[in-house]
Amino acid sequence: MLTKMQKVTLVGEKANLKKVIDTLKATGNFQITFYKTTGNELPPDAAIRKTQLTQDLNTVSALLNYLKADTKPLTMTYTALQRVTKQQKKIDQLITRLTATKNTVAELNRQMQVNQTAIERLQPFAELPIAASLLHHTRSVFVLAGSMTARDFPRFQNDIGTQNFLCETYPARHQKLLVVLTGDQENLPLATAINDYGWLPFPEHQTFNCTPAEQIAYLTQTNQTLTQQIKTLQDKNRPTAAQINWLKTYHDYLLNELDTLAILTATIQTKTCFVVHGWLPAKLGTTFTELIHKTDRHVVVELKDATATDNPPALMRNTPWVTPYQSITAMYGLPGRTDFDPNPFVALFYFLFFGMMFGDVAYGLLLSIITAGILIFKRPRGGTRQMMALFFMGGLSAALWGLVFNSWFGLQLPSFIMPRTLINPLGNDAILFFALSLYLGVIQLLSGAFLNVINLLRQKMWLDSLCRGLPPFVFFTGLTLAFPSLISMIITLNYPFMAWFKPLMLPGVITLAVGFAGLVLLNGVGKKLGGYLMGWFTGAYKVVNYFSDILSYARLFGVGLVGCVIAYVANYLFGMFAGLGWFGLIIGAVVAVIFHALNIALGLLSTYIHNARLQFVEFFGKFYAGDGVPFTPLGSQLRYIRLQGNGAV
Amino acid sequence: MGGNAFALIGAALAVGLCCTGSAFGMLAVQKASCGVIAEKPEKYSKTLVLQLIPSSSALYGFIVAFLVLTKVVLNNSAAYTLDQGLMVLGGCLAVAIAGCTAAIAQGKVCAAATVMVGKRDEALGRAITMSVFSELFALFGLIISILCVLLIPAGV
Repeated sequence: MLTKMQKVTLVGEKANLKKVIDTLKATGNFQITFYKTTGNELPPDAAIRKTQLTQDLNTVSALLNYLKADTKPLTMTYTALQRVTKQQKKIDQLITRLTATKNTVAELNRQMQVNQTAIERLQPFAELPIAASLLHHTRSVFVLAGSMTARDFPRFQNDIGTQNFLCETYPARHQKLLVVLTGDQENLPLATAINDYGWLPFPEHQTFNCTPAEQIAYLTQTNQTLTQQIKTLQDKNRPTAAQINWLKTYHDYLLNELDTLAILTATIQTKTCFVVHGWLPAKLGTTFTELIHKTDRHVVVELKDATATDNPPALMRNTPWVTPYQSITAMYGLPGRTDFDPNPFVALFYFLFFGMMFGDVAYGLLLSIITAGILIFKRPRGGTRQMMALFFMGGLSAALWGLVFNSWFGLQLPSFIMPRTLINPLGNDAILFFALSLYLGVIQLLSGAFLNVINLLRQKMWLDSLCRGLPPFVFFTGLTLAFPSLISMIITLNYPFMAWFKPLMLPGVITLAVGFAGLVLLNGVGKKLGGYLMGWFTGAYKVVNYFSDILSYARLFGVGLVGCVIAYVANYLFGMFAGLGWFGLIIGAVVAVIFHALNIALGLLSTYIHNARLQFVEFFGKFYAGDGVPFTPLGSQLRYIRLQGNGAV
Repeated sequence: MGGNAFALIGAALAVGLCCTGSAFGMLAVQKASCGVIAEKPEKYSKTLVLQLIPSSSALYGFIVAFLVLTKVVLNNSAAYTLDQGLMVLGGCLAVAIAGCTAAIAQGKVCAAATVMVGKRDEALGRAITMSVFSELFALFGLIISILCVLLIPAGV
């Protein structure tokens, strides 16, 4: 259900603007409408304060990231948040200490990284028994050191010849040779030519007076010392949980102060007055007015309903069974001014389709149990909580459909336990499953068309509801009645219950024809002659789109079948290995568990996304714009703090 | 080669080509998603929807292949004649070619849509709607393939 919003206008004395804004934030239910105005730039001292606040915020934010602080919210009142400045001195000392630690650790880490890079560069030359300080050109002698494969060296010797310089080789690992060439400076071009022989040069500018192996050992030892230093430093300066909470609170205090500065500059102000516009849930109007007047009794508070041209922010409130599906709708877009809350309908169809695509009793129960456990013991918040709840209900749906398919980890219960399998997707009922997928799609499309008519009537768009809303509804009604009989003309469905649909075929076809006529003839009503005639073609083309929409629901069959097939393969492999004795039984069990786990993971992802896609494209496409803006009340941008109502709304 | 062999070749082409197209389509989207997520990790769930959209063609190819398998395996006593098998092969090519090319095209659209969503959060709905247009052509192929598979009788 969409919460009804009211437009709020506050007019008061400019001197009290900050107090009023603090009160608005404390309510936790007021969304401000920003106005960009000229002449309201920050005065110099406020601009300086903004710069300082931003710097402090960046520092604290970096520290909290460095400490890997969790984002589990701390609950406090707005007044308590403001009072964090009483601890300012302790917080500043803590920030200074932690920043110094962080910088020192970063520097030590940088040194370690440099050492590690040097180790990696020297590693191929670990077997070279010459000090690096000797491997440099002099005024008259060039020295070239590097490595080459044992296979390339004879070719090098053959092509270049070694008569013009001294060549020392030392064996190394991985069929390599370490080579040191010394000769006259006139042989310097060799340094380029040698690259054609897979030459890896010794790192340049090395000045250590020991062999590479000794240097590697020294750098390794240095890194171990640095690691120990870092650990000691971090342990000595580790903040307590209370100190981390100070930082979190201070972080959100700074965020709040910056937000207040932004609001101060973006509201309409004259020399003596301010005007603030915003939105508030309508039912909170009276309490809100009382609270504002407690802060400043001279403030004028005006509450008005939204007009047809307004786009109030969307705040959805639904029962606990529907709330998890709000995240699906929000992924597409929130209800705009011409929309209503589609979540109850999304909940119904999403629940139904989830189970159809994931249909297995064991998979469903496993999913529900795991998600229930997470919800009860971990108590996640926000989006994670909604997703867990969504999957919990999806698991229940999957379990119910699993009973229809008689599928328990891909196996069927014997007939003395389960006398009847209603639909066997991998057996004789594959075509029935396919037809059922399409039929459920037709039903959802009918629902979408019906909701479109209701929505148009709600907006008092009588002509549109009659000419562009009603014909699709009539069309889909006819299709719903006639579909089972029509599809059985194309594919053979030898089931007794198909006889129930036969009497519906004629009325269905007639309704379908009437709907089609309406789609064509009424589509262009209200336009000029040319537009009206064009409406015939676009109306007829809509039917093509409808059929492609219906076929899109074949994915219910496809995704469901993929799950069945993978489960079948898992069990088949188990059977195959189990026939090899007790050892094969263990291997088979492991393989089966891996396949089933993979099936659950892939199935869950596919089901989640393809189901959402069906809602977005086929269902929402009929009646829902989704161009709403979210309701973001003042104070909701805080990251670590959750504000309690300060005795307010 | 009997008709069943050609029918199965058709099934293999349907699922093989459609999956290939879907793989290339998803490759394009996932590359774009990596770029978006590198800058804005909070967009991951929105890009996930777009990443999976090109997989629709793979599902369509799988459905057609399964329908062929159902007829060939379940109705083995009335196997396809050579002509019938070739007709089924031809029918399967409809979804194979249409699905493959539509999936690749859809992947490119979704890749661009991912970049759009990375800049504008509220554009996801429009992005999904735009990406579905090219799927229409795969659906045309699916219709023909399903009709061919279901309407061509097996046996004499």
